[in-house]
Amino acid sequence: MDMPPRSADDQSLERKTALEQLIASCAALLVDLDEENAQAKLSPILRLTGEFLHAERSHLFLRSVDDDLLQRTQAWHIPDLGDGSRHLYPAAYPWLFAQLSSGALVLSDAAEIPVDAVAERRLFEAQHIKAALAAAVTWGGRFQGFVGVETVGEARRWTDQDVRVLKVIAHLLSSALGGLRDRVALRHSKALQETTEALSHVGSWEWDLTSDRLKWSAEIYQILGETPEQFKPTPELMLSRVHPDDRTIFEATVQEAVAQARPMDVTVRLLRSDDTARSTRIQAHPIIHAGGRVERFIGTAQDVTELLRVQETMQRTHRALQTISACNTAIVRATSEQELRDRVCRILVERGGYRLAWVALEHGDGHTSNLPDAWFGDVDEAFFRELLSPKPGMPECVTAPTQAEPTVIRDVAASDLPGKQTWVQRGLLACISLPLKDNGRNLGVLVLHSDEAAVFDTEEIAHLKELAADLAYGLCALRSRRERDEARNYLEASEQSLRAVLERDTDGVLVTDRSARILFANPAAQAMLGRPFECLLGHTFAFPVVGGEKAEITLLRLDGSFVIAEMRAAETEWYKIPAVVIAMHDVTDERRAEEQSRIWATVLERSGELIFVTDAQRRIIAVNRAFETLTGYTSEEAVGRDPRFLASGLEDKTFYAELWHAVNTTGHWQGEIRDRRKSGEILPLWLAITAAGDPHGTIEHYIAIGSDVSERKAAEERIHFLAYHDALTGLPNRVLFKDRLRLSTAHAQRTGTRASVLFLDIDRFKNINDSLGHEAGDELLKIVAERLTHCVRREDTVSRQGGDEFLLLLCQIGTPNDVAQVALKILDELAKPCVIADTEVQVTASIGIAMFPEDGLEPEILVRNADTAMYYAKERGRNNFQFFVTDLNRRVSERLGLENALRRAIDLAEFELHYQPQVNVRTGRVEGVEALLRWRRDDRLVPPAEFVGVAEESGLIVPIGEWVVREACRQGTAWLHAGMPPTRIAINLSAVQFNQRDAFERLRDIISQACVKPSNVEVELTENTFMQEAENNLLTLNALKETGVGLAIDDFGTGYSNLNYLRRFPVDRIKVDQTFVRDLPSDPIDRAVIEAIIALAKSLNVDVVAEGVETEEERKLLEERDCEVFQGYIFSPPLPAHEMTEWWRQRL
Amino acid sequence: MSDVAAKSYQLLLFVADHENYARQSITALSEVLDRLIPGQYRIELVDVLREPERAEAENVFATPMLVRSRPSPTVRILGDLSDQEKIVALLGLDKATDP
Repeated sequence: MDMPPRSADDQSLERKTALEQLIASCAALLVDLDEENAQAKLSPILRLTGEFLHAERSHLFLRSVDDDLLQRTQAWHIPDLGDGSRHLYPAAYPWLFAQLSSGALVLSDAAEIPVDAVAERRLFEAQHIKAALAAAVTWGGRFQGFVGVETVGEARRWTDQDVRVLKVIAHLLSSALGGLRDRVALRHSKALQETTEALSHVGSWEWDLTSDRLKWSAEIYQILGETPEQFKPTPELMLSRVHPDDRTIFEATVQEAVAQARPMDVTVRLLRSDDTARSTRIQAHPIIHAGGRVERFIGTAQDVTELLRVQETMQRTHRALQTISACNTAIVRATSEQELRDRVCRILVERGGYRLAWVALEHGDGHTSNLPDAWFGDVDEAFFRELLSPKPGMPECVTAPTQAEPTVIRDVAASDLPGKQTWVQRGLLACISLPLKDNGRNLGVLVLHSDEAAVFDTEEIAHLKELAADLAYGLCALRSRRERDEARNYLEASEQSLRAVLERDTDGVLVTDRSARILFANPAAQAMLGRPFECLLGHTFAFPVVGGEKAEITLLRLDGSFVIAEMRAAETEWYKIPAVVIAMHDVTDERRAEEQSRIWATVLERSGELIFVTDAQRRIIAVNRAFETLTGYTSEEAVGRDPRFLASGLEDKTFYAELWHAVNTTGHWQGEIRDRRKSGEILPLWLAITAAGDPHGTIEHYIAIGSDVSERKAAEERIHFLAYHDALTGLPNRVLFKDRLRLSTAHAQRTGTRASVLFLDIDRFKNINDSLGHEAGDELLKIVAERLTHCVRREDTVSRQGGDEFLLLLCQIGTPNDVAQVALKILDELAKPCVIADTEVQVTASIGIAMFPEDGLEPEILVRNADTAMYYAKERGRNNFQFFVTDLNRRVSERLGLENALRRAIDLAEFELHYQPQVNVRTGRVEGVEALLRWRRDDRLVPPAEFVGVAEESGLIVPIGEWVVREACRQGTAWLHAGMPPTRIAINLSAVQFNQRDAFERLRDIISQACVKPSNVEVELTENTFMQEAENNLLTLNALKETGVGLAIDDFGTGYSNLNYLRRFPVDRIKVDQTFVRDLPSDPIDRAVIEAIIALAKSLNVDVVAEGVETEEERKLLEERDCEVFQGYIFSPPLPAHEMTEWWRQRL
Repeated sequence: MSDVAAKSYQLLLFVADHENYARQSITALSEVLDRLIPGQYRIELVDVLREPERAEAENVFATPMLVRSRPSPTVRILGDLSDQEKIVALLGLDKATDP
């Protein structure tokens, strides 16, 4: 059987059932107690009582017949414990018996005995009694003894129930023992009839059948309440005093006894003179006549009213207790409410002796239905329909069981119940309605009907109330058990479905036991925690604390990432275990979005740019702080309005139309717009408007971001100023100057006026900088700038070009003289002393002047020419001004142009070599060929005189010279290969080239690469080169000579020759300059010079070549003076290689 | 170390970097502890994002979490640590204050 869990209430009910059984058992033992069986019956009562109260000893002390000594009549004790006292003298223990006289002794601890109760203390100590409970046994209105229990060794706190139990036992014993004493007394009175009659309340009588006379003793008069004087006993009179209801049985008993001559024994109610009745037991023995006929009866009459009452009470109590006990057993064992109701009704009728019992439950509306929920008894449904149908006069207790106390109808017949005849006919003569209440809750009503009127005394009602309470408890327990079972079944079912739901829930759900160990984690929780179920099951999580509705927590995954979640928690059951369920809702994205929008809000709010957002109807819904600052309108003033309230009126309708067209078609517009501040000022904005829409392209918002252009413009101007002005002096810089110059010249051209550019350079500024420091230099430049500004008109421009150079632009000049006046003023102004770094400094400057339009039309040319003129002024001793001179300019520019052209000429192969033969007039042989450099530039052959100087100055002569050597050698080889006779190739070397540190090595390498015999190569050096560099180059010359290369002195006679050098140098040839040859016919000095040269050469054993021989006269004169080798037009001009070849071939 | 060993209550407050509200609760918590068990406790703040190995060692995988590692048994409290009454009860300090 499925027992409900043992609750405290259940335990108490079991205890109660045990109690009922104890009392029922005791009552059963006592009901037919007599002298013979007293021992056998009292002994178990003490045992049961002792055991029930968990005592260690129990005993019954009763007063002896003749004195005050109390004798132990019966005792029980647990094994191994002694009996205790056998006798007690009440007088010796005044405190103890004072307690018992008042009903009971309740002593939980022997230590509680008052100090002055010395005898009692000693008594308890001697027997080691720690706690005692005793109740008085009384009858006949006297203290007759006590029944008690004891504990030894340990104190015991007796409960109220313990006390009540013992009192009930004492009451039962009192009734039973009192009755027994009465019966003992009765028997004694029979034996000692006469003497004891009065004491025993037994009267005697004698009925003489023969004479039909009746006589009786005084005691019978007592019973009848009559006196002998007023009442003469006769059989008829006697019969009339028998209660009418008892007369039939009385007469029948008498007739039967007479007829059969047998003893009679009948108990009837005798009516007293005061109309009360006494139950009287009438017994008689027949005195039989010799003929077998009854002559007379001799008998007794005993007033047994009290005795019967006690017996009836005993029986009823017994019945009630047994009924309660049976009901309680049913309550404990019942498995359903209906079963319990049916069983209880049945028990009440079958064992309780009631005629009808029924239970009607309240159905939530304060009323019962018109049929009981259970009944037992000889009635049908119709009876109840009649009984329970509402009718006036019917007590509410039956139909609406709301009363707290039982309602009793002791005598239905005598009541004014409607339809009582129906009740009476069915023997329902008395009725009790017992409310069924549990914890104040109204459950219904239990109604019992008795076939006896005038039952339901106080004691019975008390028992029935108890029974009703137990039944109510039982019904409730079953109901709550049913509900619990249903709830459990429901829970089990719902747990299954809950689990299924949780498996699919997107929120994480963890279930832990009460010590936070994880019992379950749904897949979402596993994902949020980044751990599989195996890593969670059994791990300790934590006690969740949720202050309000939810708490925010962070979940740390194994991989180091985290999830922010809202946690909710609740206590619950999980598969019957107390558990905590923790639900976690992932809010990571929300939190991040919130964080982001918070950051954006901050950014927008703090942005220096004006920002506002409108809805699709262009009503402002938000503005930032910069908006408030820039427009002067607060957020409250702006929100809700169309941004048009900011319009300045300076933009026309077209402007706005185009703006909105752009926004609505392209989603964007930006541009400059002029709005108006609240203060009325114009607010120029660079505004960008963007349409923000949903994914379908519907515009939801317009976002406008604007920056204050007025500030930007100011910033731009600052940047512009810095870009066009000199940071140190604040004067216009080179860029701005050129711009002004361009404007100025254009203006001058239109108006036909002049302008002038002055280039000014501070003299020896470097010295000032070096001696006084850069700061002093800067200071000086500032002073100069200031003075210059003072010297010119407002429309003129003074600018600094950098360093110590200034450029001035003078507009609308009349004559160059006006400019000269300004220049002089400047020089004077600058010449004034100035103190820099505690030092007095004298400043002078050189100024170059270029005039427009005379010195150039382009600004760049004007500046350059002024610069050139300034250098001229420097050359002229500084501290003066010079106007630009055109020639100067041309020369310089040609030289520069030539240098650039030369530089390119090598790469462009513009150089070529022409050859002029040296012919021996005596043999007619070509003794040598001089290679002469020519530059073919723009189809014109540039003679060396025009470019060699520039080439030497620029150093270009080195690569050009090398090219010459290489080309000449190549040509020499080519001629040999072409079958020409071996001859000398003469090559001119420049001093610059010759002075190169590695000149010799380079020459040697070139010659050897050309595969020319060095002896077929001759190097020509001018006399000046020879003499100036001879000392330094002696080693080079000697080395060259050693390789076999010939050496010739060119232009001999034009310079100053040191004859000593000439002698030391390994010269092979000297070439007489053509100027001597040209003047030979006319100038006798030249003739002498030539003669001297030839003589010198002969003395040095050096060959002579005459250059520039053009006429036969010259030739003749030279021949006459032993000069044999000639070079000149008389034989051939210098010719390109192929023509030279042609000429040579014809000579062969 | 002897000082640490002497404290009968060892508490660790695990928080994540962004949980400033939880960080602040250590102050309020310390005040309560100073009142209930002055001088008998040691409380330490651990940022789990900076010291994940400590969180791992204590098997802490959610924050803010208050762990009472001493006295035994270990008590772990997660969530709203500003609910002091509840925290005090869970830490067993409501009993500790009874004489």
